[in-house]
Amino acid sequence: MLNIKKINLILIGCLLGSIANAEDDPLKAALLDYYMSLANPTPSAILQNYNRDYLGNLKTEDELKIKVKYVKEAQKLAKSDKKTVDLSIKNVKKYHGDTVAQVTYTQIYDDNSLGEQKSVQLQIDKEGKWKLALQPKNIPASKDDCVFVAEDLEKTDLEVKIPGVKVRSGNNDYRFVLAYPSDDKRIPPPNDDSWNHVFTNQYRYMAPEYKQTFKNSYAIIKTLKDAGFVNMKEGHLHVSYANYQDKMVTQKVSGVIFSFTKKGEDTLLKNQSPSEYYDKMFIGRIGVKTIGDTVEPKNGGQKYQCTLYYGLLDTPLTFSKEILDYFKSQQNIFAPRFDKVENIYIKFNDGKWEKTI
Amino acid sequence: MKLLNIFKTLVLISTVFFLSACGESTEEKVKNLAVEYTKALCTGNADYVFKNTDFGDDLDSDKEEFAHKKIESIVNKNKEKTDKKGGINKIEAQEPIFSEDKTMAKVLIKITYKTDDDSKDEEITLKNDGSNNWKVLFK
Repeated sequence: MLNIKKINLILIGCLLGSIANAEDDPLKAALLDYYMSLANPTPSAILQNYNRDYLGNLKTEDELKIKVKYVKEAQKLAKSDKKTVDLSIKNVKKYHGDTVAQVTYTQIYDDNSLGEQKSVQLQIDKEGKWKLALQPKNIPASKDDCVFVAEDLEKTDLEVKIPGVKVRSGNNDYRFVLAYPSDDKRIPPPNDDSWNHVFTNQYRYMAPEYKQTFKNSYAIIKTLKDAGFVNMKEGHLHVSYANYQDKMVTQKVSGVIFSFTKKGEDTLLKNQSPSEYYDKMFIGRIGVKTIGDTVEPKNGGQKYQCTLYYGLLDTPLTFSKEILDYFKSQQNIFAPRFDKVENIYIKFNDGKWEKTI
Repeated sequence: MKLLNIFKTLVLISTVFFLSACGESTEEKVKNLAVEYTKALCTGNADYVFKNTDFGDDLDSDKEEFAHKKIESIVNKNKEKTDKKGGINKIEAQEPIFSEDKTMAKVLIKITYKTDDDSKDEEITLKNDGSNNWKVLFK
């Protein structure tokens, strides 16, 4: 029978084995150093894993705030029962002359279970060592980055069913509802051919808790676009906190506002005034809130969990009365121009996204 | 010659000790100040808090009196709350987190109480006046 001492020795052996493997891979080694520092999670032990070269442009207060944030995060992680003994690197993308790397990885715990997939930025510091980024650098946007997001999602075998049907992605369930918002004048005119760029930028600056949501939103938009539903021109992140009359509901809503036009009308729209532009343009909004959070509309009636709304060109839509009432109660955001409902099912099948019935 | 070597060795050793003592002293100084300041805040020692608080600019007598009274009232309220929990059991401070230019530091503090299972986490922010004199930035 193995006693605790032996188990510890085995674990240390595993960790040393990982480190030996990691020697060939300095990015993995840097990440493993971080997880090893959790054994003695003092501020200095944690912070030595971070690159501090780019802190000069920050106010001293902000610099300290960032450091404290990372120390606290690590100390919280250190309290976890499971210890990380190895990492499985899923993806590495390098930027800025290979001095910045975005690494996607999964932790392997001491009980052989796997952690959630994470993505972090590492930077080469003045001494030529890879360190975690305290102050992440901008990553140049490219179509590839977006493809990366989509590919990442495809692995989760995301199945999308719209509307009002649960969407399963990993451990998260989302409910989707279609809507047709007509005249949200707050949305700025789109930049031509920039939606890939905008998505990538927004994703980069997003809080970690919103990233999965965004990935889902992105995959859906991309899917619909690929399926020929929309000619999408622009998108930007929208995070909102909503006040539903009596109750302030803090929604962890993260979504993408996007717009699209009929094919062939792009040139025409470019030459029009913003108001004419918006009259012609169809604006969609996609927002996701996890099931379990509820929204109580002002009539105090039924609680709705319909939290992803969507606008599609040439897609006839109607809504049940209760959903219509819900959107009507949000008249500053949506004009009630819904005609009929169509269920759209999109499935990742045999390596491709396709529309199904 | 032998004596000279011994002397050199002694000088080297004392320099190393001196330097390491200096390195430690800032950390210890900042950490101890954070602990003592927290203790003073919770036990009603308004004078200590006032003396070790950074007010930004020099205070004229009117402002000084006002600041002292303000601190007194805050400290007394804190003391009342602490006494309700049976007083302080322990104040634990982590090593300071310094800014790169060493002009500021934060110390993460954990306060435990004698008759209350709840503990309180605090962040004490300290500022260096340039001559390694540290004071606490009052929130």
